[in-house]
Amino acid sequence: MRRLRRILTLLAMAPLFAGGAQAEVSGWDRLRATVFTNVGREAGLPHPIAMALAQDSDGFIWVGTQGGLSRYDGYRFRTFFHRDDVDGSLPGNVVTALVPAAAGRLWVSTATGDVARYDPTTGKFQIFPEPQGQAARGGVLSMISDGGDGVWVGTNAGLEHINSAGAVTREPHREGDATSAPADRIRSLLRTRDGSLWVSTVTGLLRRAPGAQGFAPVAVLDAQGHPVVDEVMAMTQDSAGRVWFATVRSGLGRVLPTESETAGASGWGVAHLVPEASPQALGGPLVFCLTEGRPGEIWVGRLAGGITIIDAATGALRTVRHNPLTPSSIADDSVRALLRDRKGLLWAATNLGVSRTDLHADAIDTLLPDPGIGGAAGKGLPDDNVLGIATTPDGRAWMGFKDHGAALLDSAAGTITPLPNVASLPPGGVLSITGAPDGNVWLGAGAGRTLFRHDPRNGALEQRAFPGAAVGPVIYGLAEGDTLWFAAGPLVRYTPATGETTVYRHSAEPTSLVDDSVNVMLGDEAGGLWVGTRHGLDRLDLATGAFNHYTHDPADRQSLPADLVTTLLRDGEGRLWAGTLGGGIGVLEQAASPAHPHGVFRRLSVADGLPNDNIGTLLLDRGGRVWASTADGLAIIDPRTWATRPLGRADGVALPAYWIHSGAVLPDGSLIFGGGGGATVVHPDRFKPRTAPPPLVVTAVRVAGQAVPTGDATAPLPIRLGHRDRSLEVAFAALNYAAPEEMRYAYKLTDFDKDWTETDATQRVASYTNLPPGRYSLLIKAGTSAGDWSTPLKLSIKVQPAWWQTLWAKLAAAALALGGVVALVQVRTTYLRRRRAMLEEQVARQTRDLLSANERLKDLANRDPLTGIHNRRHFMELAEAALARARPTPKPTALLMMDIDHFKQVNDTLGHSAGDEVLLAVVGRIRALLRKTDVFARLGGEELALLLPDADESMALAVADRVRRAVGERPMAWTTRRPSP
Amino acid sequence: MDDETSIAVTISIGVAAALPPVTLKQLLDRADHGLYAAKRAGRDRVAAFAGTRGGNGKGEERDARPQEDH
Repeated sequence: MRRLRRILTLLAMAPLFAGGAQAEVSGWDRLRATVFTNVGREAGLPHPIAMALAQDSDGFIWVGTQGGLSRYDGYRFRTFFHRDDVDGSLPGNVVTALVPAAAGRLWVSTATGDVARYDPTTGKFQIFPEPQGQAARGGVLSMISDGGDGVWVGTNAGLEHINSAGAVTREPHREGDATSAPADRIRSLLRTRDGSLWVSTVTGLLRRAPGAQGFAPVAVLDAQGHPVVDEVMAMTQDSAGRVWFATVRSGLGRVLPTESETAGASGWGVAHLVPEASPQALGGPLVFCLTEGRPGEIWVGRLAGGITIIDAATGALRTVRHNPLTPSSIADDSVRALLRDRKGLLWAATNLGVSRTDLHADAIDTLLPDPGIGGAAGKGLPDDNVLGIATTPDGRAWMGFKDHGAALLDSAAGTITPLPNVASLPPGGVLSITGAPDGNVWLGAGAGRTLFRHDPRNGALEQRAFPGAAVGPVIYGLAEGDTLWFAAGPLVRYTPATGETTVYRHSAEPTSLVDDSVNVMLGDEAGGLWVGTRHGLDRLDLATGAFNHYTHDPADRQSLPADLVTTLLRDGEGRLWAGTLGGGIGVLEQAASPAHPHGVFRRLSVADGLPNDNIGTLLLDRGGRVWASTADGLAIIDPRTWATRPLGRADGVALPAYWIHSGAVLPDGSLIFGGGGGATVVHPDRFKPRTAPPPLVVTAVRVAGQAVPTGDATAPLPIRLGHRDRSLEVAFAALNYAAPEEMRYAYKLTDFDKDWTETDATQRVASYTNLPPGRYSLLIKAGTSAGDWSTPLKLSIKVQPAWWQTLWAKLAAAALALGGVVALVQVRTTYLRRRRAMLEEQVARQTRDLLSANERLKDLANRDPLTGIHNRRHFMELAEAALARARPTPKPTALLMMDIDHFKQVNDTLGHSAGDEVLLAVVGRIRALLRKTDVFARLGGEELALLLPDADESMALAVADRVRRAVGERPMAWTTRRPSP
Repeated sequence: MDDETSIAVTISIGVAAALPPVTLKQLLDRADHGLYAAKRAGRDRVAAFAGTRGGNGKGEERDARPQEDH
């Protein structure tokens, strides 16, 4: 008996280990948010209610809805509808189940009882009616692959099988024979890896062993061992071999494989209800679907209950629901189908389109606010703006928030606990949070204007006198020994033990602080303190009290890349890194000297691979790599090679922008960055850069404006054009569902195009007109934002010649010439043919030139002639489009209206050309601060507008303040050429 | 002959942010409202129209300029 139990344990473990991913519950598993991307009608889904999901052999995701069937390529849905008058159209518009078949084909069933198979080589649906003389199906509720290329079909009138060739057989039901197939409603079907076929009905479960003729009922027992009769709605098999099933009234149950499974014969234990997943525990009875998410996690899709995730090892439950305040939450709480695709993304079909989440990207986690709970322990961040993060010597991390004080992050336990007495903090946000070596935590609360000391050992929170007279809010603090340094406008040195305070200010003295706008500090080993301000970088010599300045000099390419320093870091080589706003990163390689008065900085910017030149925070991981948060995602830099990679949605970076100097290295080696909307946590040891881009497929081909079948991705159909077919369009997509918007594309028609034509994710069409007769190859490749390109997909194209262009015509001409009768004819024919080819080539070139000229004209019409930014009309169009994109998710959108102060006086006193110069300079400074997605326009006169997609009010205020500072921080200067005498 | 000219200018900014459903006109009006408030409050500052979070949606202006002058 004991030996048997040991074998059982081993077997239950074995598949887990074989899968390579052990279900290990860490604190991060509890803390991390499930971040969804939602798509629906705005991307072309024909009906909001999604019913069924499948991934075909090419990688396309198919969505069956209550109003048509759609194929998704990461960008748009291509929809198939039922049409009474169209042969080979979808047989019905309410799709109930989808099963992929070989060569890009797909089985489809409908609520009206039709079963069809889509074939991409014909673009048509072939319909398979029920066998002659049998009861009508009534409706199809479920389908499952038969393990080959056929399908099992669960109908209202029993079970059918359709083989690859399309032969339909109804499994016979015999009254009184319990081993025959049921004749009533078949709710769900499952084929387990041992070859067993599982059938569920309104009264329970049946199983047919591989090779067996008859079905055997599977008894379902409750915790007390009593049999349960209930309808089974859904089934799945997990990676450990267990079968999970959902009942209508009794919650979830599971069946474990017995040891003989691996020996070939199928042995299964008894079906037991899982007490941890009772209807009470789930908080509601109805379950639509089940699938395994990460190994050892069972995802349960429910009616109006979101998704409940069960940890198979512990029975622990967590629920993922729609949160109207979080655009990255699941679109809707009714989940009718779940699918895990081949790249590890999990898809959910909901009543409001389709939501997907990347379960594969586990090196980067997102922490999101959980407003429903009000910051209770372990339930997410109390606030969506993490303004500061500090670690204390005991290895704990403290976070300061914009609206909800501060909280303790315990990554081992997986909890976030608000600071005790947090309610006694003044309103206005904790701008700075500093961990001192003595274990105390210092908070710049009340928008940085009130200083508090918290002792985590006894929970005491006490207000402290503000150090120094007439200083501004404390936005950053640094603890060095028993000294605290505060960025409070000027630099403040404060010794809590004695109350001694020194304020370092800018003065007429050249060795004074460069500017009273300190952002960040960092000590060095040579008795100095580096101070980053809004107007340059300083090094304070602690022995002499003198500041040494490192400022940006536009004439010196080796000077600090920009004056506004946001973050400082020392790398493994001891070099100082300065992150800036607008200039990327500067790495100090040589201190200032007479030869190099500004020092020698190595610059890293967008040109080197940074996603954005506005740097928030720099952190060093244990492997010596530098991680940067920016205004547009993260970046990783290897200081040994200076290789720089942007990290975006595809890598799991779900937040768009980050706060300056908000970040810390946590005791487990993880890095945390505070951003707008939450926090991003990086686990550097797990991080593997993406390499090969995903497969590229042809999504549509149009010849002379007419769609033609594309074939499947592994064997795209050759394209033929007749000589009258003047146009060809080939649409394509790389099926990268993790971040389709980050992909780039390039295409080239051999023997026609000289170079690759590069396009972005919004322009995925290669189009040609008036191709001369001949054979061509269209090469298409996909690239990631990091610059990796796929091997090109090759599509052969044949343009048929007209009769006078055929070989036959040429031969006839040659024969005539041989006859020596009319040698001139041949000369003339050849001349005409060449002339025609030349003309066609010329027309094609002119058409392309005209198209690009049109593009340029359109662009001119859309832009303000003075500043080159969008004009009012185009801004309105772009803003409307941005609002439309924000609607379905829904995402907030921000708008800034800006007006240059006293502009009329500039025009009046200095003249209109000076007014133009000022406007240009202002626009230039603002442009340098923007993200790619921001829409910046001149509405007229001195009035500017800026639309920020996906930005809430706090982000918009931060941007506005940056803009205001950038404009006002120093005078606008320009040179005017005076006419020479 | 080149002339170097330089002049200090400032900018006033009105901010509006909202979750859908919001129309472009509403957003423009709110941002305009904020801009007016910023100008009225003495220029060179940012004023927001509260709307997305905890706002009463009735156009409460908040001066977001850090108070560094005292």
